[in-house]
Amino acid sequence: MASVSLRGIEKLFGSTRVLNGVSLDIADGEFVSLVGPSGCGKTTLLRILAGLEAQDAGDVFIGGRPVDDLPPKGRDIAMVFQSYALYPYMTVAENMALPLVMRRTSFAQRLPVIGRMMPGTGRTIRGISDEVSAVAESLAIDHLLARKPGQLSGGQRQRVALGRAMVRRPAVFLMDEPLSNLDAKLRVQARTEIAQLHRRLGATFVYVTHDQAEALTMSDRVAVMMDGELLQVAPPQDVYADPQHVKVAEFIGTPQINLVPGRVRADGGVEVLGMALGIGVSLPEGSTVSVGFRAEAVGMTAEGGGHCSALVQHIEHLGSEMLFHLGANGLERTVIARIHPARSPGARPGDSIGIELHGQRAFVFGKDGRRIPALPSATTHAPRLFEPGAMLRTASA
Amino acid sequence: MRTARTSLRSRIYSVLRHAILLTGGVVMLFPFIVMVSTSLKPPSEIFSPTFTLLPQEWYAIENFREAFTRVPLARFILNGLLVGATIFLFQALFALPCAYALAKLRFAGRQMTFVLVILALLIPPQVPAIPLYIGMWQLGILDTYAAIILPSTISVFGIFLMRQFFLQIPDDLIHAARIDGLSEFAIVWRIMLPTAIPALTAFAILSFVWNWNDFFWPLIVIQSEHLATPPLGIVFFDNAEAGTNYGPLMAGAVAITAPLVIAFLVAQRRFLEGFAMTGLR
Repeated sequence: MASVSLRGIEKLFGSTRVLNGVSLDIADGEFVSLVGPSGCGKTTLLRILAGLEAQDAGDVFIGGRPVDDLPPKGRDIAMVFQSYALYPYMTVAENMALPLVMRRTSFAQRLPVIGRMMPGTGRTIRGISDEVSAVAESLAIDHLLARKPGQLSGGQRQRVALGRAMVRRPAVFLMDEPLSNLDAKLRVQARTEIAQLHRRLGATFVYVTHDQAEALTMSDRVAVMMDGELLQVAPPQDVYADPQHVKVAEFIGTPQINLVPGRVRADGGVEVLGMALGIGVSLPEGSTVSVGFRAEAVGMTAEGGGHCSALVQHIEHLGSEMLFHLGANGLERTVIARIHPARSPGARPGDSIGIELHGQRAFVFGKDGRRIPALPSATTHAPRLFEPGAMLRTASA
Repeated sequence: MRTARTSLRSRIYSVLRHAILLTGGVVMLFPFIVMVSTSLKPPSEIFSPTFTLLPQEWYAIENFREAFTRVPLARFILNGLLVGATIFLFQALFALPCAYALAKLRFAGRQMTFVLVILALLIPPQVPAIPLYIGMWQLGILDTYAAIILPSTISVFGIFLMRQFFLQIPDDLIHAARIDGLSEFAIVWRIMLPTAIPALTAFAILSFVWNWNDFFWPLIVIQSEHLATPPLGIVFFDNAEAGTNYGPLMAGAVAITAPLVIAFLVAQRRFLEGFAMTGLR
């Protein structure tokens, strides 16, 4: 078992800076996800950690030991690839055994025919095959050992790739989008399995994904990466409920966060569309800020109420919740409100309603995108509560 | 009405197309047909003014017996197999690591090295013949198997072909192998070689056919009859007696062509697959 530390990692491809001084400390046995849009450098970072690429600056430590000069095989890591990278002409058993064969047998013992006659080869090979069977059994792929990867389904290949990583009992597991080639249903199932595997093995996991759902559901901490920089490293609930950067707020959470332009008043209060939100920041008067509201921080009232009036453009019924897409007067982007079906105002597309923005649950971001701490301010906007039946009246009128 | 006319038209084109292809096929095959036909005929019929496909008097046994007894034809065929197989083994031994390095490793001068490989493809084998001959004379290995084999041990075409194939093998496979603890040479022999079998088969056939049919180089370095490769051996028919006896000569030609034709027919599917995968077809 081992901790992992990355210190000031930089990487250039030609003149393009892919990684811009990335530092990250991962505790022993922790599950950390690197999440970000494609091209943000997360896979490059993982490859540098694995020793498959060399960094241009910075250091990598595994288990407190610098590993910069060690090849991948000397780093006590295993990796699961997006494409699984199974050796196509070897059986599942041979695929899984290879890492052990390469470590436990000598060059002479691996030679065809002659190797078999060397003393101890038989015993070593039998030991390896026992371990392979045990791991295969734990992953429920023991009935596939004699098959070739070409004869397996996507989900089975993914398990074999996991198995090949597990047989060696590495201190650190590196996973490069291992679930992105699976269909949606299988992916949800595999998510749980990997999380359980992590608990069972107790090893350190570094998991790269562009899928925020994977990152949020499995990890102890999520590292959000954009343009070669780590913007926030925090537990899943914190990156959602307490984003430190506007890009983090935009990337994490479905539906995407509603961002509306705001202005700072003389008393420090933040206003949106000329209405105070009831929160204040320490910025000079007239500063422009960006205010983010999660879909659940947006409410709906009868027409004429709330912060502004809006038109219902589209409604998504998701069973446990409803998403209202609202075109608000004075706002460029559609605002999305998440409403529990039991509390649905009964509005239909085309209806006019009022939007109510909950200032206490808003995030304020400065011009550089960084979060600005906000406190409750004196000038509070008293929201008008939704009156049952009001919507029906306006609709029928 | 309209569909009937277009279908008639397409049928005419189809017949025309096949007629052209058929003519081409016959022109290509004709020498071989004459060769096989001549090998079956007695001397009197070979020079008869009217050409017949099949002989009036079957003379095949006599011709083939003559071919195998007057010169050591079996020995020539064995020489051809030995030389062809050895050359291919060496070519694969050098081409696979070179191709791997050119396709998958990043090092200074890689592009330049590849340009040199391409340039070497452009040099005809006759150009370095004289320096090679002098070099071998100085080493004292003229008129040995080594003299035939040595100049062909490195095939730039093989390097090029295998590189094209290796380019398509995903990098992740190599990354996985490195993490699994394989050295770069182990990656070549344990990962790349088995994956490249189709392309290697295609190259094996090309290489073997080339060296089996090569007349120029063995003619230069081989004097002893017992070291002759099949095409060189055929020449000994000519030297053996005053006149050329075409019946046994053609029988000999059939005997040395047949193994290749049979080998191609057996491996034809894999051969074409190999080329399809290297993108050279």
